[in-house]
Amino acid sequence: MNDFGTGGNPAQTNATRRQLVITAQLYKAVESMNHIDELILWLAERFTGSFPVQVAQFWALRADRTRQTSVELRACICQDPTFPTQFVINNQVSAVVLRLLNGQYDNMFRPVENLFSSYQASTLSRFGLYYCACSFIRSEALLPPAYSTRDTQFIAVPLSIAVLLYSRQTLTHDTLSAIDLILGQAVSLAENRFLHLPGNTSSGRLPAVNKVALQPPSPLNLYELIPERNEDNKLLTASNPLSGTNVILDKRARRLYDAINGVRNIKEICDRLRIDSQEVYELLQMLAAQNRIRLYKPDGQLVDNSVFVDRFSL
Amino acid sequence: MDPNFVPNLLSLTLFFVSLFISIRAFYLYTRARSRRIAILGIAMGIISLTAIAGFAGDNVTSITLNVDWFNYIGQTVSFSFILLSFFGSSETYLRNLMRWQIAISILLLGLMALSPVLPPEFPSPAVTKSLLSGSRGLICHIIFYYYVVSFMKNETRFSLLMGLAFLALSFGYWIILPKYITPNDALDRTGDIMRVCGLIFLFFAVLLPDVEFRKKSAVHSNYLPNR
Repeated sequence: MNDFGTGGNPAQTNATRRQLVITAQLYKAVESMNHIDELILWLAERFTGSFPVQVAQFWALRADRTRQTSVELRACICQDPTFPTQFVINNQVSAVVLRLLNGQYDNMFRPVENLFSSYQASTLSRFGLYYCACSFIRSEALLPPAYSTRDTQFIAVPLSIAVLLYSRQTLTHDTLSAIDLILGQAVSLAENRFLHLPGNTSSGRLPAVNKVALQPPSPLNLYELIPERNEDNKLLTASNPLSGTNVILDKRARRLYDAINGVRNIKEICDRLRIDSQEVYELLQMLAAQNRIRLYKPDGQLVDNSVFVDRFSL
Repeated sequence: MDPNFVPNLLSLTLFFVSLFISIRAFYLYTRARSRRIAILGIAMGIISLTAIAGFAGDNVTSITLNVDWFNYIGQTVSFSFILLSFFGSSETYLRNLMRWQIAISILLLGLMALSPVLPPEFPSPAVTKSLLSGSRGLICHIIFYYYVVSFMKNETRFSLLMGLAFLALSFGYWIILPKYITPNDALDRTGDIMRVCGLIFLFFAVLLPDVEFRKKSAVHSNYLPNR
């Protein structure tokens, strides 16, 4: 690795060095990316891998055809893969994010109790997440709906993303600046490569996303995959199974999880539960994000859950 | 002091602790669908039945209840299934294990139902009782080693308390072994008290939230002074 040291404050040097290295990697990596969600995932992985950040989340503002806005999670990476994500992906967090995105706030770094409800803050603190940095990415360019979205009710909207970085310790000013600089570079790259400019829409209406352009080169057929339950190895040996942290909060996801037996493929599960492809896709994503399932191809080959959102077609 | 005081204390502690764990485990199973939790729930359910059967055997005088068979075999089998659930995490393994456990637990319930008609004396009582009772201690001791390894790797409060619980339980079972050859009240009481201590550790292990000592210390050193 090149030495970017300047002889100044070691923390500052480290943060600056990391920022320069990540920016250099970003320019290289973006060449092989086809969708902004790949870039978002890449950034989330770098933030948890290179900075003292335990969980990185990218929440984007979205709108349906009636212009009703809501937020959706575009990426969530936990430093500890066994972290129960339902404590950082839930309605309370999304409500706070929606408020922040609608309120045009500036970047901030706060103890979690200053951002979330006392219940949510105490839950986060229980897992050692005492602080949260919020950075906002805004642009006039239009953000297409998530790669995984098969529902055509959502339309491209001006880019408005909240990046939530949960940490155990206070992040230094230099670390926060480094992260902001990386995000700034990423937005510039994204504007050039992945985002639609509003001027390109002739009617003045927000354009529907061109689904064909978003299709991955060789999608897998979701219906053929065979899900298998992924039991937590540490449950009962290292973690208290009765603490209630491993419950599946969503009833539909629980029902789906119940139907998974390591033999039925997704088509058979859909038929058995009488649920549609869109719903099963969302539920599988939820279970995969919580690391509760593994997916296998019919030939027994394991499918990487982390690329789940990017690789499937129905 | 009532000679049944310590055995009754042990039976009731075992009953309430295992019943609490069993009920909580079944409740969470309906919400988490984890087979390992279901295996724990069934095992602790059977253990709670052995405890209440033991209590009845010690205190009911109107009929003769030979609950020792159910007591020894039920506890050995239940602890064994808890231990076996550590050995694999695959869907097939845990599903098959759960099926076996349900089948064997039904047989154990049959054994409990037969306690009024089972012969009051064991064949070669010293050997049979030592083997049946000692096997519980052996399984608990293996579980204890499992938690030691887990504690070395993960440094969680849960694995520490569970390790202490199973250490106390295994010694509690082993200390009473000589009484099957020569009756010895002092050893019997000591063993029972050790098991009560083990159950208290077990209760706190499942009651307290998870704490990871290693991560916690990092948080303390880096974060708290600045807060």
